[in-house]
Amino acid sequence: MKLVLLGISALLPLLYLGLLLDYGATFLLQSRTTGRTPWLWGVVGLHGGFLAAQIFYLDHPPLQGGAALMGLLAFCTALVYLVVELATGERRTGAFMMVPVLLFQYGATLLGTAQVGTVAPQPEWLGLHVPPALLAFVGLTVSAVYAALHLALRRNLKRHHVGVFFDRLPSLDLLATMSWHSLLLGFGFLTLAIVTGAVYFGPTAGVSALFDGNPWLAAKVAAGVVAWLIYLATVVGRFAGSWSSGRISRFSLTGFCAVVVVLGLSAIFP
Amino acid sequence: MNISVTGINHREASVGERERLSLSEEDARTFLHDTTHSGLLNEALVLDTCNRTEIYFVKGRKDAGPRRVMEHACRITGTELPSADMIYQYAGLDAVNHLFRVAAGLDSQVVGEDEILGQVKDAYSQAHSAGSTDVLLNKLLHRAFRVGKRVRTETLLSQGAGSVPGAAVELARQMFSRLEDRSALLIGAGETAETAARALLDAGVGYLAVANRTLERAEELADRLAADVDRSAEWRTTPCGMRTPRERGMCPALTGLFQKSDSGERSSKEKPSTPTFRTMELDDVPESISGFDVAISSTGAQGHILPRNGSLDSLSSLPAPLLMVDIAVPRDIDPQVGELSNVFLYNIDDLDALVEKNQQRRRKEISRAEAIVEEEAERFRRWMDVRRVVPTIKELRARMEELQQAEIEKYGDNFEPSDREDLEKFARSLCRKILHEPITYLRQAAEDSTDGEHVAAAEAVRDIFDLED
Repeated sequence: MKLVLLGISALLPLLYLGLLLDYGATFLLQSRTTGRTPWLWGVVGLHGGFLAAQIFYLDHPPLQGGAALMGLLAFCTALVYLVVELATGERRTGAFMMVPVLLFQYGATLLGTAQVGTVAPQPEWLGLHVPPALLAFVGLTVSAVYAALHLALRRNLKRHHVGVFFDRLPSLDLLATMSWHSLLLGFGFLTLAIVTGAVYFGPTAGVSALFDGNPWLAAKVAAGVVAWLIYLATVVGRFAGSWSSGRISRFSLTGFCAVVVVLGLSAIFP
Repeated sequence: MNISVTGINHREASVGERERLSLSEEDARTFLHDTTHSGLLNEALVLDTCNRTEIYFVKGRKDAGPRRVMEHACRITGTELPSADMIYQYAGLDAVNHLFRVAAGLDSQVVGEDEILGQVKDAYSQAHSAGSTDVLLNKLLHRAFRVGKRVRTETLLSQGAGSVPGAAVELARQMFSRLEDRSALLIGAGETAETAARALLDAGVGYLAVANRTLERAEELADRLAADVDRSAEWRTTPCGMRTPRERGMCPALTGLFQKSDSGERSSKEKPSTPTFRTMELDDVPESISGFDVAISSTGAQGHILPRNGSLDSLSSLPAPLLMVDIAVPRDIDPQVGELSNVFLYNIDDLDALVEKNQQRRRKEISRAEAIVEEEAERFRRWMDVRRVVPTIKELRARMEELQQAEIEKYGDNFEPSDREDLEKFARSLCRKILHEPITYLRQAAEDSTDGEHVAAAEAVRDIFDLED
């Protein structure tokens, strides 16, 4: 079993490299710019199966150590991109998404034996809190990237600057849609991460534990709640207030700033 | 190389002269039939577009020169032969080069335009159906399609709009992924508006409204556009009964988690299902404009049709952006309208600048496109040269077959019937092996030949094997 896992771990960066080359050709040659990429599903499916096999092998989700987290980040990023591509049928940004995926997975494979061999004890809540938190982070990061591209294209069009780079990217409305779908995904998982975090801390430590001698934890929770409220306002604004795509993109970027604070504080207080 | 071309185009002949010589589909069919059935030409193809009338041909009879061919075409159209300084002619490799440049869009009025490749394909389809093409033109035209495709995929020659209406559509595409789900408003019903409307319909816009001071003119324009799209004028409806997608609350880009999308490349030439048309009066425009995604204005009005006042401030809070293109001079739309946050306003100077930028980019690509044309022309030349040695190769094979049969007949009786099959196999195999080197030598000589060496090679082989001339 260990050999199989090591083999798949070595194979994954190659598969993602192949995807990167495919999407790179799409961006540079502007061919097959729309449609779906069946072998992306295959690779993400294989990666998901690999993670599931690790859970079975280790008896817990692989969440400890740099290699494990990098592998999870790679999977989450690829999964978020898969959802966005399925939702919009747009392939031109795939190359940009595959770069961090490849880097994360390559790093995970290099640090790799730790990813496959560790059978260290692990708190139960990690498995319920960390994966949704990672998916939330990735989804909201992807949303912020598309939002930034959307706003940059908006600005260029407003100023009548039409450049070669933006010619190759999706249209304004598609960038907004891609940002929106990623935001919805990220917001959903952020909600889940906050709930699972609260469920762990609520009964075991009490709300007061947040504020007694745990300033970093308090700051992290506060930033998380602020981020959640910003995204909640965005979602409500879109559905009930018919907010424009420009405003949604600005809120996505603002929420992302709060997410970065949460992530930074998570590193200090894991 | 027997291929030639003769014709007139936009460089030397005015539109009036091109009109006179223009061959309709019927005329072209008659020309192809008459010239090939009479033996004047072995193969022929007519390429007739708004910018050129060209005839590609392979001579049949010795008197089938470019002038004779052109005279025949003029006889069919009932016109006089154009003056000699308007007519051009190319033969051999020059004719091949010319066709490849035409297919690549290098000879077009707007360099790199896309339509010409489709027109060349249509011309080939017509000639092929008429039975006026054979090995040479079939190969040549397929090579021309390949050249056209290579230039369009390997260079940026065809990228970017080359005209003002095209630039407006290009802007719309930068903002909206699917024009089929978008609505456009034309303010004005003149020639410029019609050109812009056709560009939008070609791009696939799903809903088109025409606003004009005189409703009848708007309806006439809508009639013409609808007739071109679906051959019927059954588009009319009460103005208030036909709401735009935006008015119906559809913002396709932000709804539908899993939208169906094309599995392959979206061609700008693919027409959508029949678009919806609507007309309105000019006075209704300020009130209705928020229901549209694209508005193109080109009236002859002296003042602003859309002044910046309170009624347009609501455009700032639109959920999706509004592209406004003001082609009119003096401008129809108050420039201050462009300051509203969701409005993207472009005037004629902006579009001209965009077109010029695209043209500059295309001009930089010309040398790359010419290199592709040269490469493919050389490839075609080598194919032609190899063909020249084909008769020699055929005769060589036939001669060897004769010898083989003669020897089998002579010595076959010395063998048992059961061994005769082996004898024949042996004879065939031996002949193939003997011929392999000379045939390879001939083909190689033809491919590498730059100055007729393949002719000397063929003659040498004929001498060695005693083939008849």
